[in-house]
Amino acid sequence: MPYSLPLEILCHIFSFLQYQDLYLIRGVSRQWCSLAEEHIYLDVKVQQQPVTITIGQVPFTSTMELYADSYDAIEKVVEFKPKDGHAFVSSLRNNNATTPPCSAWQLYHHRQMQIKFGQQQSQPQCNSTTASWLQSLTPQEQQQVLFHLQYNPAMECLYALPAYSWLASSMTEQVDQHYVGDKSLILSFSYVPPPPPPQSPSTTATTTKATYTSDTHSTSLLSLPLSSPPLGAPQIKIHWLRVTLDWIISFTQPRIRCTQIYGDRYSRLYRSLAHKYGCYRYDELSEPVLAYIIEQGKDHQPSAMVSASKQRQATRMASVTDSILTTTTQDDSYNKDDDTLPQQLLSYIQEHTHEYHTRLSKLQHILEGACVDPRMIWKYPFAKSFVVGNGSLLSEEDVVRRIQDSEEEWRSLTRVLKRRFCCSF
Amino acid sequence: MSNVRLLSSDNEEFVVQKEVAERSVLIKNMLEDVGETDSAIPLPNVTAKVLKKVIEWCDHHSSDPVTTDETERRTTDIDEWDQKFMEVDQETLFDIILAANYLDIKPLLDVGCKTVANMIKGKTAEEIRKIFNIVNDFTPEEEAQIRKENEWAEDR
Repeated sequence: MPYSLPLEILCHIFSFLQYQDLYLIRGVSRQWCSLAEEHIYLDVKVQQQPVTITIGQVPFTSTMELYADSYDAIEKVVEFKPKDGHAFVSSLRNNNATTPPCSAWQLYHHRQMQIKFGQQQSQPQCNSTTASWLQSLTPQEQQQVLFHLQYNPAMECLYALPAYSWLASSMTEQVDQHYVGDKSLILSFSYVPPPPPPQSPSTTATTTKATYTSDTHSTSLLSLPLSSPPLGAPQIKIHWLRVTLDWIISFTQPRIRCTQIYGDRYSRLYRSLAHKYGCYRYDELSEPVLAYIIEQGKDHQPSAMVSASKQRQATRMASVTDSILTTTTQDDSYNKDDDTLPQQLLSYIQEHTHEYHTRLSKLQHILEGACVDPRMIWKYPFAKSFVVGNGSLLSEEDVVRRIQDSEEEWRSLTRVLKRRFCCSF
Repeated sequence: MSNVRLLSSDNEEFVVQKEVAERSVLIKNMLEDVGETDSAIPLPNVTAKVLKKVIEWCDHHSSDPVTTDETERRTTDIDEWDQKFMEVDQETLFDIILAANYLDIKPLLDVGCKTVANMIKGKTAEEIRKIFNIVNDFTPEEEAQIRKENEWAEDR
């Protein structure tokens, strides 16, 4: 006869399971599902496991760490923030003292960003990499096999930061709000106009010191290096990073297929646009769409400022509306959704239907159409360069074709090895 | 060395060395509060069968150092003696865990919970439901969604 354990003990048992095991046991029951999900979040928070954001390219990089701050149990989204809860400001920084200080062209590298979770390195698939069959391959074959087997898209993924509007920033003092997104994450940040150049030698000394404190992940406002170009690199103020739980796990378990962040919101938007406006294809990672998806949460979650009486009033009004609308059809709900779509977003999507504005979304879309796993983008340096616009001369068709060819080559090699060694990867 | 008398819920008395009994923080606190006493300490939540097992474990681990490192506590594998000790039926295993929790013997609780965690690893949802006597309360749609999200693990 089976026996049950109290919740307190169950949580203790969960503390001995890896995140990937916790993720899998969500299928047991609703209670286990919410317990396991919350356990992953709490463990990340208690263990202070950071998300590291690296902006720029070596040697001109700036890194900062974000820590788990809150968990949205309904959307199953973890929000990471800078440690003290305030926005973190980074600056272009020269990591290498022997390298000349940054010049105007180096601002170009500033547009590249990498987001990684945790301190651990990607775990190679030990059963495959230490297998005896691997040892019997030629060094060249071994290298090729390990390259593919040890590949973890989460560890290699790069993002291109949107362009900084120099003109807008010089004309207004307002911050430049931006979003960068991927299937399972959204990052919110602002470009802040560069501070005025230092005026006196005493100010200069302070500025230099402040710049180098970024090594310690200080949350103080960091200024630009002394010798920055007259135009000045914009400062980047990170507000938050929201990720799905599977994104966190993907750093140790590359096989996991990350789910869509805010999947329900995206579905609602898709339904509204498709049924009412016939817009079936649009760039889900474009900033107006990301901004709308984020705004949806603000509408649906009653803020702490909303008083209980207002909520009661809203409930009464809703019940009156219900009594008037005796029937609710599927189309009505679409109309209701449609009402919430701001005109600006509609205009944007209608103008840019079938267009993909980031190189990443464009490439992901084409690869999906070509039946290639879009996560393979990061396996190949030429595709990475293309995504971050790093001087790649290839067209997107070239990139897709080269990825297709390389993946096909790997599949053929896999088939040969499987036949030769009767092994599985 | 002085002895302590422990009384199980089914009124069986056990005479144990004080040092061994004090592996339990609950008993240690009780002894400190009450002071020297001849009367047996009642343990109404623990049966004789389980108390015997718990005493056996405390006796074997009476001189173990206390682990304070949280990561070490969580990642250390179960040693061979403990593995053998935990080779009991599921009812007894759960009872040992409950007793360790009640008596506040953290290392024993950890060993018990690690054993159960190892039982969970690699099991299907249905197998886990059977172990823990859990009813599947997902709708078919919810279950299908989670199964889809867990597809990556199917051919592990």
